[in-house]
Amino acid sequence: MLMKSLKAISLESKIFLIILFILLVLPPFTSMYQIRILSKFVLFAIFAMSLDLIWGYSGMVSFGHAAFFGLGAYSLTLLLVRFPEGGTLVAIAGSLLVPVVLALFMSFFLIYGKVSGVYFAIITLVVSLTLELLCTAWYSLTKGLTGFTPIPPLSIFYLKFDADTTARLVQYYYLIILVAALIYFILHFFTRSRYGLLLQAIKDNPKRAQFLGHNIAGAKTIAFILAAAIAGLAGGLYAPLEDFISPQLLGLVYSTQVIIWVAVGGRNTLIGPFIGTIILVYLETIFSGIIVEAWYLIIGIILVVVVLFWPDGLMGIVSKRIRK
Amino acid sequence: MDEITIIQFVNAISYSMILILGAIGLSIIFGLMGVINMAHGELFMLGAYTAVIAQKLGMNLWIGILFSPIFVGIVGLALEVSIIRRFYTRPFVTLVATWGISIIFRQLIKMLFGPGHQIIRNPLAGSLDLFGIAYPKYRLLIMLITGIILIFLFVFFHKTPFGLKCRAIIQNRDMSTALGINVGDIDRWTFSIGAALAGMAGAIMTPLITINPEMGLPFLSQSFLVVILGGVGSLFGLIGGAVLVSCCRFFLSFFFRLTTAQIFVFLMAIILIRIRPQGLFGKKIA
Repeated sequence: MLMKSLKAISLESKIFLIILFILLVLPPFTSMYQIRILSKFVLFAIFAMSLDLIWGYSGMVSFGHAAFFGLGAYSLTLLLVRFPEGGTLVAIAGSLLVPVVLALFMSFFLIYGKVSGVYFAIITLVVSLTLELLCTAWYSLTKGLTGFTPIPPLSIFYLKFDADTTARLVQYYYLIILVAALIYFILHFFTRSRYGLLLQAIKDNPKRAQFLGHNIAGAKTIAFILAAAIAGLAGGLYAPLEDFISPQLLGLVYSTQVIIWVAVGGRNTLIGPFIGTIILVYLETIFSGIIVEAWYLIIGIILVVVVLFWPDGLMGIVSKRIRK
Repeated sequence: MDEITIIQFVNAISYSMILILGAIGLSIIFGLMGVINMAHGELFMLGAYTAVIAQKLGMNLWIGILFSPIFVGIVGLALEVSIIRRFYTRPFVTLVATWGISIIFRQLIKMLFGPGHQIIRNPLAGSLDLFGIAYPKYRLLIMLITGIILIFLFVFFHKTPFGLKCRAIIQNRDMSTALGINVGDIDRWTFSIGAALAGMAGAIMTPLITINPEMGLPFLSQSFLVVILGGVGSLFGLIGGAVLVSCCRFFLSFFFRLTTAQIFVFLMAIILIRIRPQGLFGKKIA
C-alpha cells in the first residue's frame, strides 16, 4: 500500500519532498547567517517558480517579473510602517493584492490586447523599469534610492518573525519553508488541473485551442495573476528578512536574475527553477566574495551554454538520464 | 519663443537624432529576423570603448569613430555565426541567449577597463552661432552624421539589390526562400550592419555621455521605446518613434522632473501598444 502510493508520486514531487526534508532538519546544524541566507534562497526559489508558471507553463516570457516581487516587498513594508494598526495579516494581504491589481491592469493591456511574443517581453520590461523609476522618484513615500530600513517584524498571534534574534529567525525560516511547500503544491495541482492542461495546449498551439472553444485570454490571465500573487508574497516575506528594500528590487536586475535561474534550472517543471535558484544563488554567495566580475562572466557563459545545448535546463538533463 | 525654449527645442531634435542612430540597428534586426537583440546596448558600449582604446593609443577620436563600426561589425558577425543563427525559429530563446551575451560583454569590459568612468576629450569643442543662439558644434555634427547615415540607409534599402532582398524577407520570409534568396547570407550581413551601426553610435556619442560598462542598459531601454512606438520595418517609422519620444521628453520636462517625464513616456508606450500593437507608423501585423 505504502509502496503503491509512493509510486504514484511523480519524480518531481519526490525530489521536492527530499529537499523539503533536508531544509526542515538543517537548522540545528547551521549558523544564524546560514539560516538567513537559506531563507533568502527559498524565497527566491518561490519567486522563480512563479515566473516558471507564466514562462514555462504558459509561454509568456516576462522580462519584468521583479515588478511583482518588488511591489510585494514595498506594499508589505509601507503597510507595516504607515498603517501599523492593520497588523501583519493586512500587510501580507497587501503584498498579495497590490501585485494582483498590477497584473490585472497588465493583462488588460497585454493579454487582452493580444500583445504576444517578444513584444510581451519588452513591455513587461518597460513596466518594471517604470516602477523602478517611480519608486526612485517618489521620495516622500518610498525614500527613493536610500531605501527603506529598518523594517518592522511580522507578528502572527504571539510569534514575531524577522532576522533580529536567532529564535525569531528560525521561526521565520520555518514560516518561509511552510509557504514554499504550500506554493509548490498549489502550483503542482494547478498545472495538472484543467486550467494547467489548457495552458499547455495554448502554449503549443493557441489557434487550435481557440478553435476548440477555449477562452485563451482568460486562462492566461488567471496564470498571470496567480504568478503575480506568488511573486508578491515572496517579495513581501523578503522585506523583513533582509531588513532593507530599495527600488532595485522592482527593476531590471532581479527581473533578469530570475530568468537566468529558471532557464538554468529547467522550464516547465516546478522543481527545476527551485533547485536552479538555490544552486545559482548559493554559488553566487560563495564566488561573488572571491571573484566578483568573473563570477558574473561565468553566469553569462552558463546562460548562453544552457540555452544553446540544454534548452530544458538541469531538470532536462536529469530526467533524460533517468528515462534511459 | 525665448532663447531657452529654442535651445530646448534644438536639444530635442539632437536627442531624437541620437535615438535614431541607436535604434536603427535594433529595428533592422528585429524587422528582418524577428529577433530582439538584448545585447544591442552592449554593442553600443563596445563602440564607445573602441574610441577609448583609440584615445589610449594616442589616436584622435575620428580614428576611433572610423574603427568602431568595423570592430563592432566583426563582433556582430561572429555572434551571428556562432550563436544567434541557431535561434531564428525560437525568438523567446534568443531574448535569453542575447541577454547572456550582454552579461558576458559587460563583465569582460569591467575586467579589462575597471568599473569606473572613462573620459573622452571632445575634439570639436566650442559652439556655433545658430539663429542667434550659440549651440555646441559637436551636437550639430552628430545631427549631420545621423542625417547622412539615414540617407545612406534609405538608398541602401530602397535602391540596391541587397536592400530589395531585405525588404522581400521582411514581407515574407518563406516566400523569399522559395524564390531563391539566400536568407542566411542576408541575415548575417544585416546583423553585422546593425551591430556596426550600434558601435558607431557608441563611438560618436563618447564626448557627450559618461562611458562605463553599464552604459548599454539605459540606451537599450530607450531604443526599445523607439521601436515600440515607431513600429518595425520602416525607416520612417523609426524616425517617427524617435521624434515622438524626444518631443514628449522635451514638452514634459517643462512641467516635471526628468525622471517623471521618463515615467510618462514609458506609460505612453504601454498604453499605445494596446491601441496600436503595430506601432504608430508601422504597417498592420497580419
